[in-house]
Amino acid sequence: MVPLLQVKNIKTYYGNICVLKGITLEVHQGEIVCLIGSNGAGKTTTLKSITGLLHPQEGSITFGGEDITFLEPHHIVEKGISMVPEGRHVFSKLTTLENLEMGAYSRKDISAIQQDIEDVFKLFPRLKERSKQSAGTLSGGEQQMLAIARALMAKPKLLLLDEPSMGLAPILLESIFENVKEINAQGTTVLLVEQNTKLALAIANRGYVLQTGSVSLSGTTKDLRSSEMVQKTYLGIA
Amino acid sequence: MQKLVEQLINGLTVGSFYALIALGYTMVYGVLSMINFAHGDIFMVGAYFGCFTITQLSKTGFTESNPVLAIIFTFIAGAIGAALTGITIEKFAYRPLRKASRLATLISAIGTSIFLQEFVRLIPKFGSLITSIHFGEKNLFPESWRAAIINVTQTFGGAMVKTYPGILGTAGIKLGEISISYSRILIMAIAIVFMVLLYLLVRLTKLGKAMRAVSEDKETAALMGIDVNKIISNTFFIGSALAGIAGVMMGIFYLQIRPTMGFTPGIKAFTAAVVGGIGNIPGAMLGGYLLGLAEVISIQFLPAVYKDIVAFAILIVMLIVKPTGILGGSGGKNKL
Ligand SMILES: Nc1ncnc2c1ncn2[C@@H]1O[C@H](COP(=O)(O)OP(=O)(O)O)[C@@H](O)[C@H]1O
Ligand SMILES: [Mg+2]
Repeated sequence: MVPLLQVKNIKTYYGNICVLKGITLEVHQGEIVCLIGSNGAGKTTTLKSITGLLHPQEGSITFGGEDITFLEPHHIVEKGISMVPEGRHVFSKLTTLENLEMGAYSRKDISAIQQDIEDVFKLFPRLKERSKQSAGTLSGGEQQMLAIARALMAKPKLLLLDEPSMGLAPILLESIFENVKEINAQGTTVLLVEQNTKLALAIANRGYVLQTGSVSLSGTTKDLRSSEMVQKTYLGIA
Repeated sequence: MQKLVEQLINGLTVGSFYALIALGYTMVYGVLSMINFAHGDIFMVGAYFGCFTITQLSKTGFTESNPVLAIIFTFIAGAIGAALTGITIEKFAYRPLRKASRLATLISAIGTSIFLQEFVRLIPKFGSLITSIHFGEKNLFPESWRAAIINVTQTFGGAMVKTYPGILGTAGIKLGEISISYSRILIMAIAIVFMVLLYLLVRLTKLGKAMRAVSEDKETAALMGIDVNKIISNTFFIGSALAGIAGVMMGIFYLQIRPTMGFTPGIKAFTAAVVGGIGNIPGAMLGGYLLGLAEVISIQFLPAVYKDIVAFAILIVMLIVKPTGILGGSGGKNKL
């Protein structure tokens, strides 16, 4: 089967510093795939290369069999990839509702948008109470929910999540990960970047371990959990 | 009392100019965090497009038979001429420098300002230049075209002062002792209408929301599927169109226009934008009217030549006391 997303040997630079030194990974329809690795490994850079915020100098990215390596971000969204950026990045001056409308910006089926807003409110009831509030006044957890809900408004085939656990209280962590599982169960494929390796491995089917710009290990979550390197470095098991 | 009310109306008229021009500064600052120092010259270009249009319409007698339509066409020409100038500047003078230092963009803006003034001044010269191109005996353009090109370029620009035909004259309405000319009423009404329209556009439309999103975070806006360059271009279009409208108003009100006319209103409107809180749309409107009123009030107490100094004194005091402006947020995080 052709993977939904295929990243082939990409090399991405900031100026002349090579940050991704040839990353290859695949995500199949229906999966939750996690990308783990320590700070500065290149996880965010990988996601930015997929969404077109950065363009790799070498290698290729295909989505649904189509080459998207050099498309601009707003075209990639139209193809069906949306991203929840690291640190949420909700539009703080816009209301919760307006943030959701921005998420649906690229859609042509305007009449269906209202219903989808209701649907994400079902997934995150807290957001409905806050719908007229400017997003900057929401709590960290609510902002994370909003960032995810906003990305869903584009009706993506593939959802990229960059460290959704960052800065969240432990109780909220679990519920956000439950939400991700539910989103996946409803048919959206997920590529999840996490530093909280334990939680990531708990919900993913497969995973890749990134070390200083290269994939050092990949496999099913079961394989990864039993790897001594993963246990030592990322799960803190001596 | 009568004198006071008349001065107040005068202040609101001048304030309307400042407010309309200030909106362009503030919108561009909102999306790009840069001061478009060529904005005053875009205002000037709008005045010239308007002048050309009304002059041609008057020559054919159209203005006399349809004065209202003639005025509308003049405003449309000024707005569109300025808007096209604005998006062209953004595309060629600012976009290539988007990732460069702020200083580079600033220098580019100042260069563009000089370019626009000189271009308008030299248009008749370009006219004679291109009509004199010939290959051997044969001229590039046929005789009739040459006459037209010379005529158009000479009517449009040049170093000399151009004069708007006095369409509205000095007629007006009288409320008791107080008389208000139609041109003042027109200027205040048009300014208010366009400010309300702009406010609604930015608050309620998809474009307006996208502008606010781009103003806050370009990368994330792009992730929403927003074509950031297109939104920036649209922002220049709208801000410049408002300046063009102000340019036509200036022509209708003061009758005379010249290539350097953008400088003083431009820098005062910039002051207005800073006073209101640069990046903030209602702030620009408020700042414009405050500045207009402050100027006429100062005339009551000081010789009229001091009125320009008053504007800049306000700018300096504002920058010291509250650099983010009256309606501005804190820490320079002032956005549409
Ligand atoms: N804008 C940037 N300019 C230069 N270097 C950057 C930039 N962003 C990230 N980097 C560098 O790229 C490397 C990978 O960063 P990133 O992809 O953000 O890592 P991660 O998301 O895994 O923490 C790091 O060494 C980081 O310092
Ligand atoms: Mg990161």
